[in-house]
Amino acid sequence: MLELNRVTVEARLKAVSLKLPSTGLIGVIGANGAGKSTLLKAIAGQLHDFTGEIFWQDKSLTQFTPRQRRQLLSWLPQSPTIVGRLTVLEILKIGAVNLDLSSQQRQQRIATVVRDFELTLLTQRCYQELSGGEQRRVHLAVCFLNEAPLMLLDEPTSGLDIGHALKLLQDLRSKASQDHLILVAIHDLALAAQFCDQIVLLDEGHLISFGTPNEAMQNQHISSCFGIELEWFCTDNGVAILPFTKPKI
Amino acid sequence: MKWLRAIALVLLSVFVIIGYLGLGGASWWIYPTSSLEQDILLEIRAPRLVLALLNGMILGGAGAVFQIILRNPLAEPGITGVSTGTALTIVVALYFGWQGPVAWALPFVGMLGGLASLALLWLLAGRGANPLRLILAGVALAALAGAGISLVLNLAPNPFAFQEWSLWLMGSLANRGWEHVELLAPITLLGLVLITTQRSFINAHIFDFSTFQQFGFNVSVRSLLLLLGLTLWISGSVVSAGAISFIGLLAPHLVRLLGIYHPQKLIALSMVMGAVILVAVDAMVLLIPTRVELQLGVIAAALGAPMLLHLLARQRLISDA
Repeated sequence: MLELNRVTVEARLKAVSLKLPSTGLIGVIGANGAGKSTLLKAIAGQLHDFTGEIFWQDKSLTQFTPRQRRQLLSWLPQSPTIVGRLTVLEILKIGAVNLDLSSQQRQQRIATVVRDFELTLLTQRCYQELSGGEQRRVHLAVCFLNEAPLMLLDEPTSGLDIGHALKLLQDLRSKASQDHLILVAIHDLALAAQFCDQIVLLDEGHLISFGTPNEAMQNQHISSCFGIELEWFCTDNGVAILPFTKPKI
Repeated sequence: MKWLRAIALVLLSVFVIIGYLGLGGASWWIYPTSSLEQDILLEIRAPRLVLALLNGMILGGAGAVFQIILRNPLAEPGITGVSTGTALTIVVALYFGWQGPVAWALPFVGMLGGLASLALLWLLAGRGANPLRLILAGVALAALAGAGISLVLNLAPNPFAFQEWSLWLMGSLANRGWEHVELLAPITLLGLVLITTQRSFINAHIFDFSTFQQFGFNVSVRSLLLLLGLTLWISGSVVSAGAISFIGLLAPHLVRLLGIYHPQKLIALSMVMGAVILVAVDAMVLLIPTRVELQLGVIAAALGAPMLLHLLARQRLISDA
């Protein structure tokens, strides 16, 4: 279980308390500047100026050594980059560091992520020559190398075409069902509603609602955060959402 | 890669032959016959060549490591202020005349100065080894130490002292012997061992800082060990040949222009490239007839800067096309 106890980051996150299960795909939604990235960064240990406590399985995250944290969580920042003209395979090899694996197991992991993120034809290509979506898949692959029980992905679908975005969310959901807790910051409300088990809705650093998409994305919450209303269309194939601006009375 | 090593080897041999064996009025071709010429070769030219090779390796390698870990293509060995700190300590020691009775201690005084600069840098930059803070703290330290050196030079009692001391600022391999090699060789090796043990840490710097932070390194400890290795290298280089500028910046860029970006290969080949450049530059120093020997940094910058600009311009044309 991941427990946040009054996590506060100056001016960006205000006393957020949450209890998340240890498996599941959790969508973090909110308008620009709502604190989505800040929340994920705080959990990922990227911030040093926050107050409050974060527990994983009843152990405070501050008690984990860097090496233990490496085994516990993986983190995809919003705009990751690579310095230098390296091939995809070289990047994955360098990224497969501190995993506490034998070299054979490490190669196995690399082969797995190469297959999962459809990088087989790109392994010898230079990263700088790839398209934005392909680069994003490389970073996701690096992120998945450690098969961490806790994954924090800041807008993983940005830059991906709709096919790859759907596939990624499907993959994340199947991963989440196998003993992983995955938090994604996401802008597309329809994708969030369709794939996430639970939704965290933030507004100006405050937690507005938390629950299943149906509970958390009620129009009263959505309209207070985004200034819009949603019309839901549910079929057996998924959920579609029609957002429209709130009529002014 | 193989052809690159071959070219480097050929270039090195050419420079060695023209710079160290055939110059300075020597009449031999492969090995001298008279005992005086043998002495010149073995006691003056040979240690000078070995020192040039070691210093070049250090400067090229340290430049590459700094450019990688600071994620900054303008970084070079002088950026942390360690080389200026070492030079300042030496110049101060010379000013107060400490080198007279305890000449053997001068390099150690210099090394202490380098280590003190590192400690100061670490304090100024604060915990966490953030690249930007390291650069800013380093620039401040280098400026301070540079001002100190200028002050000491201003106070120089006579022009001869001024000329001798200023050699520490741009680098020179004149009047060096095997004792300098004996000092620098183990330091080079020790630094290399320290830096090599941190290779996975160095490699991970290809990722942005945020991604990098999740890789499970104890960043403070790793950075400190790495900086210690680099400090040994740099202050060792300064106490044996003065603060040679520009080669640490130039060598990694030349290697990158050859299409080599993997951190480990970049560092290894920058060491080779630095050695080739420094030997070539020192060959020029021997070749150009001047009243006093020119300083290494002067020739390195005068030849290297246009070369780098030319290569960069050509690469721009290629990538634009």
